[in-house]
Amino acid sequence: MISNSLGIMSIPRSFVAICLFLVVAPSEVIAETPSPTTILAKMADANRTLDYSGIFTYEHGGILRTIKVFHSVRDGQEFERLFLLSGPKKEVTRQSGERRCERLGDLMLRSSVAAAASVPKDHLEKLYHVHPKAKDRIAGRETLTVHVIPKDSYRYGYILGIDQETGLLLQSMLIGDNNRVLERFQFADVEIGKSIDEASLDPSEPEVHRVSSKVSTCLNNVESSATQSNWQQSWLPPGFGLAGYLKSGDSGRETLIYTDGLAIFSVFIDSSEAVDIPKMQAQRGATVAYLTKAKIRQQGFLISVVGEIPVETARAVAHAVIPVQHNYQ
Amino acid sequence: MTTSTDREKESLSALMDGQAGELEVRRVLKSISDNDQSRDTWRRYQMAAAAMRRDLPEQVVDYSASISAALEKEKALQVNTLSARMLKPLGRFAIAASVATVAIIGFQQYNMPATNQPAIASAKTVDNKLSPAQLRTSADFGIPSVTARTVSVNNNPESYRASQAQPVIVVDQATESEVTREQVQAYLNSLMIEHTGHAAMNTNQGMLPFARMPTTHDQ
Repeated sequence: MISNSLGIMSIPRSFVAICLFLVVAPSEVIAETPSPTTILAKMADANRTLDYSGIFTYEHGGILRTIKVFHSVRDGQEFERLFLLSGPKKEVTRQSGERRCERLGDLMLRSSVAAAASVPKDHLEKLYHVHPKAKDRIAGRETLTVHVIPKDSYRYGYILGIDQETGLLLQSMLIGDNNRVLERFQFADVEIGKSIDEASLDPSEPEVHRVSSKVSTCLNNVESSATQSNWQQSWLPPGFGLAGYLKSGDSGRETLIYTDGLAIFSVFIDSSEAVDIPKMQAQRGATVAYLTKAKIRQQGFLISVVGEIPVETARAVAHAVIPVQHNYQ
Repeated sequence: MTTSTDREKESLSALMDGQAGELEVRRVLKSISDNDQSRDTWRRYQMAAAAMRRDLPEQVVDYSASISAALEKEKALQVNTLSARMLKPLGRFAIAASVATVAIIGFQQYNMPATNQPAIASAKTVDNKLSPAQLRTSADFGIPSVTARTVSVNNNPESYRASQAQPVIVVDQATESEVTREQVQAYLNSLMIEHTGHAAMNTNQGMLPFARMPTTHDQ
């Protein structure tokens, strides 16, 4: 028989109590915690330097995908192959372009341990509260759970599960408004540090989606190529910087990529004569798209912002795209 | 509005302990389905009992509410599909602004702020019906899908409420645009795929961006 006093307790309170019990009880709070941002810096390195293979799940809005991944680093160049194990057949291969390449997102995540001229040392602390929480276990490995909570409402939060030994990201949840989980990515099985053979990286299907690095994301290239841009932002959410620029010769589309180290969004500008799409907003999982139109000197443009950011941020960014004056004189 | 009486609570306890008689079981189940307060009490008892047994799952499942929510959602989808069907013969976005300022095409989860979007009211209602501590169920098979532990600095049970199936595309200020729904979807997909590539090159979240890539299956 359950005591009646339990019945009087409100749901949230009893629920919070049980949550705390769940979170705190099984794993003691970490004593010798490295600095929170050091953990993220280690994560940034691990994802770029380790050989690993495994199976992970990705879930959003009731859709669950199972994906197999092979990741290998050879002479500082990354090779990656992924394919869906569930649903339609789909395969992706990726190869990082330049070998010696500094990317803005990397610099931002590693700013606390590696000084960079373009990124202040406390970059992440300004934008997020980073709390290492508890030890957990994911894919049979000891992990550290890190809560990354945004200090403003321009970006989402994260719960990250980071491998204790190597720093590899084994779990990531994107947290939206009202602490809603927008998506969850989590390894079910992973092998880290064992070299990946050539065959595992070869695509098995003929129609594989290849991700090439058409967009140069190396910082020195970004700075020089972005000077050709006809567009710029009159406003950006705090902490975001230009991480990539591309002008497509065929379509005339211009693409600008912005990141704060964790979140990322792309701004696409198409001529609206070429693409006749109405203004709209759309969302798939954690990714939003906000499309608006602009008319500059009798010429119509379709401006699209796509990224894992709140739709309000996407809207504000889209309406802050302005032409670079000197190119229009 | 009825309140759950002490007698009802006793019956609930008896049911939990497997001590309830057949008539009592029926009465309690009816009360749980009719009365929100009884349902909450029942859920609390379940959680408390599970906590005592130390086998509390990450979420406590209350099928009674999720099943009704799932049914509700089915209805909502049918209604929306009907409107979608009505749009289809036109095959165009040419909707006069006086008739509709918001047109909805495509269905997927969509977490839009609840501002001036009357057209998705039905989906919102479903969302609100889900109480915090329960698992979501897929509308198709009633298979529980996972939600996740919350950011504990703000331990708000609301976070257990995950997003529901909602439209993927909302067209604001429907304009006289001679473009088909497929074209819109194709354009959006191409943007998302390009963005995925950018994200993979730039973020430090490993292969995560690719997991987000749209597949034809999802469309």
